[in-house]
Amino acid sequence: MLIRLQSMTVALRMKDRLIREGIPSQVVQSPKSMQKNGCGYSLQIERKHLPAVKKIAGEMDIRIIGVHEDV
Amino acid sequence: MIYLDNGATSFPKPRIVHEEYERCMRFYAANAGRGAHKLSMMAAEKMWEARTLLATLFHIALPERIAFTENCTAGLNIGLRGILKSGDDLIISDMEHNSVYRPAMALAKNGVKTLFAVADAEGMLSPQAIEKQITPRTRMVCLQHASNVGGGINPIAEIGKMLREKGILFMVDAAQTAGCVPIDVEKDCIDILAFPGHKGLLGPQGTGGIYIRPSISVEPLTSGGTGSESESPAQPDFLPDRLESGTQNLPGIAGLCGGLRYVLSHGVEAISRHEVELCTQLASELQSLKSVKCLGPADMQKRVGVLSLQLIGKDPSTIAGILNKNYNIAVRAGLHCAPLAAAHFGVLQNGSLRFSPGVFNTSAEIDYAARALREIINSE
Repeated sequence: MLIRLQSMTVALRMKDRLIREGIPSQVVQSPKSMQKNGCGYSLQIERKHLPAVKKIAGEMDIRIIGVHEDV
Repeated sequence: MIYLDNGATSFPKPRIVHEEYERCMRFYAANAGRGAHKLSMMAAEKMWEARTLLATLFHIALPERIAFTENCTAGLNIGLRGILKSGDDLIISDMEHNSVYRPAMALAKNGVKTLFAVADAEGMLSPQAIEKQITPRTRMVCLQHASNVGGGINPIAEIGKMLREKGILFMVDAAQTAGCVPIDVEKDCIDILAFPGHKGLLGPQGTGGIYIRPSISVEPLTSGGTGSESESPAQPDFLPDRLESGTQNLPGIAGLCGGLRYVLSHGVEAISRHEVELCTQLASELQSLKSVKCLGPADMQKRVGVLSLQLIGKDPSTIAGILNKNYNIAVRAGLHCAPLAAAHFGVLQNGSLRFSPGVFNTSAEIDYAARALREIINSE
């Protein structure tokens, strides 16, 4: 699954926290098809971690722009 | 060379700074935040590492509120020009460096009025001196944490608390204190912090940064590519992208990571103690010279590692030239880009001779420098 975020910096901040929570993730460039406003970055995670990732994003006050299946 | 000009830029740098810089240049100096290939990601992660190290050092909760700049001056310009609007009053001190004084004066044609808080005879500011200048239109106070001429450390925590209670923004110029005096943006009530990477943080030249507290909006001085929201014609409204247009100085930032690791591992307090001890030693060894007067606080514990000397009847530039040529000692003479401070101390005409030891200077070097200065002064 791809968790679309605002910027590379936000993605890295969230990735750091996910590492501490034991959730593996990788920063990837968001496919153009899912971007409304130009270039962006997503965190690639396993689907099973989605609920935990959403909760963590809320705790960190990080806006998730979109959630997409891997392309 | 015995380098005693760390107030201008620190030299030498720790080995780890060279290693980080070279490793970046050799193995991963791609463009961070542009694409997501392996090298670009390594570059982005190094920039993130630098942000988190800075956040640790300055007790900043959100590393993304730190934007990299090419030096402290650039950060100060962003803070002043990007926040103040027509009709705002700005308070600075009568000791400020040109990196604050000049943009403040330039803002006058944009309708920003600058008032000057007056320092005491030792060049130190007090909350009361600041409070005297506050008007109903005062939007910001911009103050040096420590003077690059007098060396005195201002009581920014007290001043910050007073300003926070009054709802006035507090910007701190940490040019002489980042890495050598503890800074806590929360405890010190700092809203905007500008700092160089190449002085006390021991990084390469071409590095620096600005921290902006959440909820403060700032207009960028530069717009351009940020690697985010590229289809929008508008600059992103979130940090750090809003203030980081174009390719960043990644090798410099990698080197800065090395400097930060060195400072954090050695401890800011230990570095401060070392530099103040060297200044104390120098002042003590020059006491016998009647034509030499130390500027700034008599209490050396109230200083950073900066000791400027007024030379009565002598030209500081000439003395600096002799120290350089005959003794291989690097110091700085003149106004130190701080004519306000020079005027405050009454040395505007001739300037002063400044010694600014750093983390790698030794007591033996200070002893040699003192002997050299005594020889020169006594022979003239």
